[in-house]
Amino acid sequence: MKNSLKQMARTPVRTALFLVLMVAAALLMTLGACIWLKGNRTMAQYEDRFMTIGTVRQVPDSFEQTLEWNAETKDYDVRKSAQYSSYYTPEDMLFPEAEYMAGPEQRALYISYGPAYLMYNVSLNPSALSSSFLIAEFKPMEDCMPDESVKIQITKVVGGDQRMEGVVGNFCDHKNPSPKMLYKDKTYVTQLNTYLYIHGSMYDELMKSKNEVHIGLEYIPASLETGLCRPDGSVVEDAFRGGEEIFEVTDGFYETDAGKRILNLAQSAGIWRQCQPVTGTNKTCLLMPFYNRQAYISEGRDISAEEYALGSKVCLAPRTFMENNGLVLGDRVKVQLLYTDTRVNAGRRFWLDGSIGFYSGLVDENGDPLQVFESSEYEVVGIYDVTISGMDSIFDPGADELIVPMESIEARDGKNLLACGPMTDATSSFQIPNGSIDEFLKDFAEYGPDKLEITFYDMGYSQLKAGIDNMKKISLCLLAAGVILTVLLLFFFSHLFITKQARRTAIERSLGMRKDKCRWSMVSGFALLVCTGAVIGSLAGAKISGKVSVVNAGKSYYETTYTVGLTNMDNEIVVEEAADSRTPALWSTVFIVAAGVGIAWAKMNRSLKREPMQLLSERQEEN
Amino acid sequence: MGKIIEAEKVGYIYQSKYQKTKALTEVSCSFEQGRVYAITGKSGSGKSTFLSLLAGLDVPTEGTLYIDGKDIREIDRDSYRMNRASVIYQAFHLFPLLTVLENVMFPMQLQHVPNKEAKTRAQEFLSKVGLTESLYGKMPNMISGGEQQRVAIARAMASGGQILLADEPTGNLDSQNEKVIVDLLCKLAHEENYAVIVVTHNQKVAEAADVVYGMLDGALEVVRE
Repeated sequence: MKNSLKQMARTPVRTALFLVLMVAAALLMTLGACIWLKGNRTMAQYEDRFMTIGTVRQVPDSFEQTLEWNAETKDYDVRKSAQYSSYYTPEDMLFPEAEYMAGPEQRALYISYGPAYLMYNVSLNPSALSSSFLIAEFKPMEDCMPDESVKIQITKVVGGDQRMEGVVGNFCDHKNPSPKMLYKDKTYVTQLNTYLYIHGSMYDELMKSKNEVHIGLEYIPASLETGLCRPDGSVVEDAFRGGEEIFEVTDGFYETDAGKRILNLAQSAGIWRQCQPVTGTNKTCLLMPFYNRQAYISEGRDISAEEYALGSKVCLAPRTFMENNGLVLGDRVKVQLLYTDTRVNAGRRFWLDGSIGFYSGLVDENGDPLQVFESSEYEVVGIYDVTISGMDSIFDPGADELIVPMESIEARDGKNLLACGPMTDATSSFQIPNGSIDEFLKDFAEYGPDKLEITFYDMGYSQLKAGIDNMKKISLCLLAAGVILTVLLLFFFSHLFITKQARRTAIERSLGMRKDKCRWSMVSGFALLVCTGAVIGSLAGAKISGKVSVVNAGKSYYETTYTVGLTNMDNEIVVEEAADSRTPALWSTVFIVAAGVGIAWAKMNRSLKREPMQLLSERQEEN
Repeated sequence: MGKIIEAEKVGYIYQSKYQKTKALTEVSCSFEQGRVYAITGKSGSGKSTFLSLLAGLDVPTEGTLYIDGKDIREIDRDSYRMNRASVIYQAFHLFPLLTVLENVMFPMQLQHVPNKEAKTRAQEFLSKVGLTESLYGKMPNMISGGEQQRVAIARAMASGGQILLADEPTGNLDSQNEKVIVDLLCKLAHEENYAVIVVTHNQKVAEAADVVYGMLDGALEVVRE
């Protein structure tokens, strides 16, 4: 080998060129392999962290226009309401080609009655007067036609905050085009709902006297009809539908049907201050607040897949609810399901600012109060924090919202259904494998229902994957270039260093050098050069690959990866750069050296097959 | 003087995939130390094939070639070439990337002679063939053809064998250098007791030989003894 190296050293330009080109080839190969491998590893790591969620919205078949009287404008407002011939169910989305990882599901919002708990809206201002959802007797301050805001005084609270007794407020039979006169010497009873700002002559007077815009609220009457509906969206028939809303309180009034119904309705007035939303799901990530990281589990754990499947009585509870009620992880929360709503999600009824959009007509078609239909205790296994405070999106979590396994609710078909609607983005979702959106949409267009619109959220996975795929394509090009260059270089330079040195081999043979020694002498020198080039090139490639990391391609998506736990800031993907680079560098070196030795060996064997005497008798000069 | 090489009805057939070619037919002869042998003949007559067999680079396909009384098939031919027989070529065939001195040292390195000793002995051999020290560090392509052939002879001597096989050793030389080489080969045979076997077209070389064989279509005959 010494002689072989010595002779190589005496063709320095050729040897140096070979070395430099081998370094370049090894560098390309290692760089390509490193980036390709990192791309794969990064994708594998992202696979676990990204989730592709689809939300579902049923498109209305048509819109129906209804007219509603507006006492302020003295005209009818046109109300548009979406019409559906029928509601699709998640089962309609099941077709053989659909590969769901979770769902599809349509979540109902359950209202749990929890008088034992301090609810968020109360905790914000425990002593605040509760003016909403009041059933009260009142007297007008003077004879008046309530076709504009008029002054009334609440004389008796039948249902609701008793502290409202004696309060003077504004009243308007706002939606009635033919309101009846109210007389100051008579007492009336109705459900008082807060509605719009005052209007009419009272407003004009205030404007004149104070020279400012006075925006006091007014009460409007509400119907006594039941708020119940059927799963298909139709309303439950009720004799009070479309009937009187304001009743004169006379002797024996509370013995009449209307009076009895008012008393029954009064039982549920103010109940909203003791209710909390409960959402049943099959996987936490299907809830967009968790998926969007508006909410994250900060203590305890997520509900396990097994618990979801078995319908275990476990739940995730918001920190505010736990703290307001002195509860800790592992405590049990009593859940008494009172109402069901399939139209909206919790965040649309129990806002995070403490306001509540509650239901009216909390009696059945017979006028009897609605009763708790399911009662059980749930163990709190995880406490979640909410990162938003006000209204953020249609997916907002609800205040005091408990998350429970859907299977844990026996009356999943919805008892005491107060609102019913089709699948919406906020109530319906599913999970599919990452990167399969296009395929799913293609299949869904072919096999899925026509009237369902799917919106996908993948936290930028598609862009990330496209970026990494591009990097991988480049890396494959580099790898291929490295491999091709390596092979070409090995063939070319082995031709120069071995095949064209056939005479040297013949001389060595004629001087008595054994074939294996000839082979070793020639191949070892060549292999040493190849090995040196491969090691230097591979190390350089590994070093450079650390700087051209594929992670950079996905850097901007770090913050979007999915977790139900702590936010990803504390949980960034750490790619083991060094380990990632070492393996391809090693394999590149091994490949190049093996190829070099193999090619040199084969060429040397060919050289050794030639008859030395015959070769040396040829009158040719060699290099 | 004992026979160092003896050929007994030696024949050789080149066998390719498609044909067989008989290169040597029943060649019988013997070679002794201290003498110069010339084998003459036209191109393709089988001279080089015979020299190849004598060098142990191949074995006869027929008959027997004895080296020191042993069948060449049974001896270690690599060792034979390393220690007993050396070949000198028309085109010199020095290692182009080794210096003159390194070329001569090469056979000794094969025999694991320590480097220092190999260097001293190489200088002695180069001196014997009449090359001055100023040439030792030069590369072969920097010296004349005659000098290159003398380096080749020194390298052959360096192996320590007593058989010098030369294939047209003067073929690439001018007449002045031709004479130097022929004289040197004769001197090695007669004074240093080498058996020198020269394959040649050159009449002057043949004339200087002690024994002349003629080769015709693979058959050998004595021309002058």
